[in-house]
Amino acid sequence: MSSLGTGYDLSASQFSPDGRVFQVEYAIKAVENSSTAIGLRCKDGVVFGVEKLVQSKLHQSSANRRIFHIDRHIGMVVSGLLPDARKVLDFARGEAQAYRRKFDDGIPLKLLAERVALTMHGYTLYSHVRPFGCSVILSAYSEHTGPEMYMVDPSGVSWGYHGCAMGKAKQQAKTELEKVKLSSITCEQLVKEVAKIIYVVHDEVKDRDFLLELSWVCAASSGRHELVPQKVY
Amino acid sequence: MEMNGSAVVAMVGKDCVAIAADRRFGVQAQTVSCDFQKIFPMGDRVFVGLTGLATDIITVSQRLKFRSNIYKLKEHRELSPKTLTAVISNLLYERRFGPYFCEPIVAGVDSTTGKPYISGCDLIGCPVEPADFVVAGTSTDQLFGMCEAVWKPDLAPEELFETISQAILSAVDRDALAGWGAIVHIIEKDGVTTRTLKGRMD
Repeated sequence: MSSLGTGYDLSASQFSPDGRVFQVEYAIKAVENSSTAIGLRCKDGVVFGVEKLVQSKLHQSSANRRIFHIDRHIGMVVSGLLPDARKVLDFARGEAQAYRRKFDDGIPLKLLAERVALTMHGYTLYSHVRPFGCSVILSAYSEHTGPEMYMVDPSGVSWGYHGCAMGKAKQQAKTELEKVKLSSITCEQLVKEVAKIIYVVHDEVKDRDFLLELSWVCAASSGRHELVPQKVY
Repeated sequence: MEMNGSAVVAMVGKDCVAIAADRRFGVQAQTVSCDFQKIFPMGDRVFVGLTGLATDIITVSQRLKFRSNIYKLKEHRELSPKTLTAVISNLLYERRFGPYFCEPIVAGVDSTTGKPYISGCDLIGCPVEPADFVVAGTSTDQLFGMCEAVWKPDLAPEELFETISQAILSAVDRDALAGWGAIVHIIEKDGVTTRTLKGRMD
């Protein structure tokens, strides 16, 4: 595997003879080394679930958030190198606030996803910086646009999804996701489905302890992104 | 601000708004034109009326149209009147220490909710969103007086037209720098009616 890219994988500003940018592909591999995160969009909202692996019993359980708020109405879950994800988060928050400053209104998710994708792509063009080693999933819900979810990966590509997964157990999670009937389910039920999937894909042998982090943005939360309230658990 | 002269007024009615402006363009005492446009459409149901220095009226309306067009292309929807107010405010405040000598009025009907909306700003972008009427220009004192006297809440579109026409014509008659005819737009959810008023041409 490592011999494939020899010579053409030293910087993001180089193509290989078969038309690949290896640095970006390696960045994507970095995301796959991190623990699983999934996002599911149903008819009245979007739910995120993250399998937070506990590195050490000495860690505070509330530390190492993987789910963040961008503005009141947008949520982001990250996978991959967390410091890289922090940078993306700060950028996204900046963009959302700049939009609010100009238009006195929340930024539409499609625009934010485009901007995040554009900036992540920017880092894949030059040799003096490296691509972001993280993928992010963005979600929002509003009365007139309905639920929306976009995933941006290190190459800067951004797609809208009904369901997506990233991280270690991505493939397995995707298979599980496809079984959920998204068109007929409500957010409250979806929360349970998401939690179930995380438990299913968690590898008991390789990684022992984990914490489940869940968030939603939906009609029930009035379009605000928040961590799922305890009573729904 | 008293170089060219202008008068713009907007009023809220029942599920409609009206915005009216005079048509004079002059250089102090000398009238140069009596068909100068001061109200500009920024969408199907949103209008912006600008007063003050004529060159700034032209520039601000052009820059605003640009921002409005970009917004429409990016977001596939039109600027709502409330958001337009925020955009204007931002545009004017960018020039806080060398401002456009221009005071805008926004009038429109929100295309999603159908609610009528008016607002006004000062030349550096401080917005005000009253429920009844907004005035701007060289005849603000006269316009305030007229509006306070004739405005009532929940006027139907036809009544609102009569009311705003009386207000602007009487007000500009007492102002040397504004007048020479007037134009009135009545904006409702279903459409916009534009009428030109014949006033004293002096």
